[in-house]
Amino acid sequence: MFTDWIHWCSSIRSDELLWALTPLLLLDAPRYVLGSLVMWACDFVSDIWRLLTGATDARPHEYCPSVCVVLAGLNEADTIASTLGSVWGSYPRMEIVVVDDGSTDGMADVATEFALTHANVLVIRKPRRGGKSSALNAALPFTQAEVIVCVDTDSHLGPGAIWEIVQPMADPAVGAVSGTVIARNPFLKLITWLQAFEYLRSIFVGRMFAHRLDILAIVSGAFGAFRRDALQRVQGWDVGPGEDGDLVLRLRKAGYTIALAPYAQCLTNLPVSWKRLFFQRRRWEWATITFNCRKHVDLANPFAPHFRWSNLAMLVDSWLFSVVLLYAFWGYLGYLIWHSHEDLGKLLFLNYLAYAGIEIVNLLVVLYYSLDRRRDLCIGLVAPLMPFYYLFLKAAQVWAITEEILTRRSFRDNFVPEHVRAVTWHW
Amino acid sequence: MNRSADPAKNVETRVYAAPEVIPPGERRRHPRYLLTRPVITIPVLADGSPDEERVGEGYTIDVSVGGMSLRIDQSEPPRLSTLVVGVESESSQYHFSTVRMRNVIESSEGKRIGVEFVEPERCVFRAEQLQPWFDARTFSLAPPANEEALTRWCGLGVTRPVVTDYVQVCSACRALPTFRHGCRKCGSARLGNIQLIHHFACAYVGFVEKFEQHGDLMCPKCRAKHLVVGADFEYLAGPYHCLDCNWRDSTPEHIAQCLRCGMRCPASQLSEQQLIGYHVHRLDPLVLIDSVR
Ligand SMILES: [Zn+2]
Ligand SMILES: [Zn+2]
Ligand SMILES: [Zn+2]
Repeated sequence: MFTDWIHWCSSIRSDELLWALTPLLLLDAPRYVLGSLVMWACDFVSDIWRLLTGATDARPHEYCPSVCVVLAGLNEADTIASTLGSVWGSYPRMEIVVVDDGSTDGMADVATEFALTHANVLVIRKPRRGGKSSALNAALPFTQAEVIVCVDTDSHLGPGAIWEIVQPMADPAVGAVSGTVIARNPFLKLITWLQAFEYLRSIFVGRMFAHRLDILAIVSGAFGAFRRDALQRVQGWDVGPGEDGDLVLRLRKAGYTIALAPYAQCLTNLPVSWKRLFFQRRRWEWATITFNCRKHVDLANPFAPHFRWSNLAMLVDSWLFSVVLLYAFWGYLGYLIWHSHEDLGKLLFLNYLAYAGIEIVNLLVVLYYSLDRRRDLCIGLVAPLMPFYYLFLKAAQVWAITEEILTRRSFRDNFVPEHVRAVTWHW
Repeated sequence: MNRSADPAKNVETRVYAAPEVIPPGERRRHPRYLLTRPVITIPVLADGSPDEERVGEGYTIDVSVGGMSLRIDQSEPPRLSTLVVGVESESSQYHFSTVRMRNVIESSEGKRIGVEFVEPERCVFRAEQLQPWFDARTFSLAPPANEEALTRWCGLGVTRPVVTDYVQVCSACRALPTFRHGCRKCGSARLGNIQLIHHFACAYVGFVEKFEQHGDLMCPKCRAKHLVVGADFEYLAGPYHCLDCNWRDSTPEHIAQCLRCGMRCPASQLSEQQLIGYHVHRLDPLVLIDSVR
């Protein structure tokens, strides 16, 4: 059977091959493989050059602004103490504000216990749930720190993470810095293993590439730093879901640039069921339509006062890869199945091999930049299964984007409580 | 008088015909009801404690609202005039009352004693004497004043100790504290608190002053006007801050201060005192009469 396939491959004409690999060549190859390869090549050359000239790359942590870490959460009594433990004391000029968004499990009490024995920890209790954005905003009046760092209440900071994430702030044009989110529980289940590799590929290396092109459009809600002046200028977070991406677009609109600190790492717990993963991704994808295609579409207007080409490029990137080519992918797959012929299986297998090959290349790039190569190599062993996982993600994406385009589904989602959804603007 | 009580219904209550002759010295104003029930008599000493040596047993002859006639199987009649009388009820439970002896008549059947129920204020087991009381000198709750006597009554099965309450007392001197909302860190009650507004539509959270504009509320972020509390925004209590030590906290703590020694501490660090009172089953003549009728 395999020899059959080899024969089929060698008999195929080059235009047929191009057609067979269209979705790959259009959608994934340029954005995720060529990009990271070019980035790697540049870095490799400069690293060699540095090696030859004896220059050192080790930049000391010189910049030390005052930092306020905001931990906003709901019903995280079980995890808040260990999160606080991983944050507290990891940076010299730091205060911590815990915002309890109306928890019913005593989260604020656990945090208050911690505050009694640890200096510079403030706990704010909101009597009823108002949504993640209002919880984050509630911390702002109570800090004068230069940099606000948001950390999810169920996440852990890696060593020196705060030091790493504030360094790009030395440049006054930077309004926000994205940290890197990696899996805390990669080998728990197959689903977390797959996500762990996806995070390495798309958050760790993928954002490096986006940052080089200045089209970074997201600062993870789980770990991100914001300049306080910038936050005050845009008056904090707007109502979610997708409030983290929305804030970044508003900061870009206000003229700030978004930086990346790839080695500021935050370990987070990943969803352990396919259903939870589907709901998470659905929420992420809604934001593409709500914010990139509706609320902030004026970023693409060349006549707007603060127009920047990088903002236009960022929007085009998201329109093209998250919407247009996503539909093209499913259209192509539908077309193949509709016009099913005897070689369909061979064609799909060819595609699978090509996609798996991409993952191997990506793994190599990840390993080049990795801080913990042994762990990341173990995570990368799941690469041959990634094409199937991406098929699942693309299904979730197309579902989410379609329902958001047609029904503005995000404004009915329980991520934001009813009384807030009822009065906020439905973009 | 009831001559036809159903014996099947009142197994232990035997009803007799009233004696033809009422003994001299018995001039009760209330109608009497014949009733035969086991009874014990306990003489009460001057200090309110029982005279355990001279407990008598017998049965009742008749009962009225004001008193009773008893027959006691005791060679010597009680020498003290105040007695506690316990009458066994249908449920085999003794019910007690303080009585005064009026007369003793020797007859062929034994000693017949006439007693009258004392006024409530002369009762041995007055409610206030059975409960702990507030001692204003020590600002603490003291056990019942005649606790020793009550313990002896317990020994006879007349009273029994019961836990009536648990109170928070000073862990150093067991006196009662006063309470206030205060600073968790230093205990000061001088707290400041700033009110915030959360505008739902734009998720902005800021101090109330930032919203106030010429008598109206306007969101400084999205410029929405005429905001309605509940529908458009909610008030949030910001964290408290202590005016004495600058500690900031989301909720103030209950702070206690001892009235006696002045020790100030979080209420959670107080000791708990168990309050013991005494319980007695009281004899109600009307219930006794009811059981005969
Ligand atoms: Zn507003
Ligand atoms: Zn204080
Ligand atoms: Zn005391």
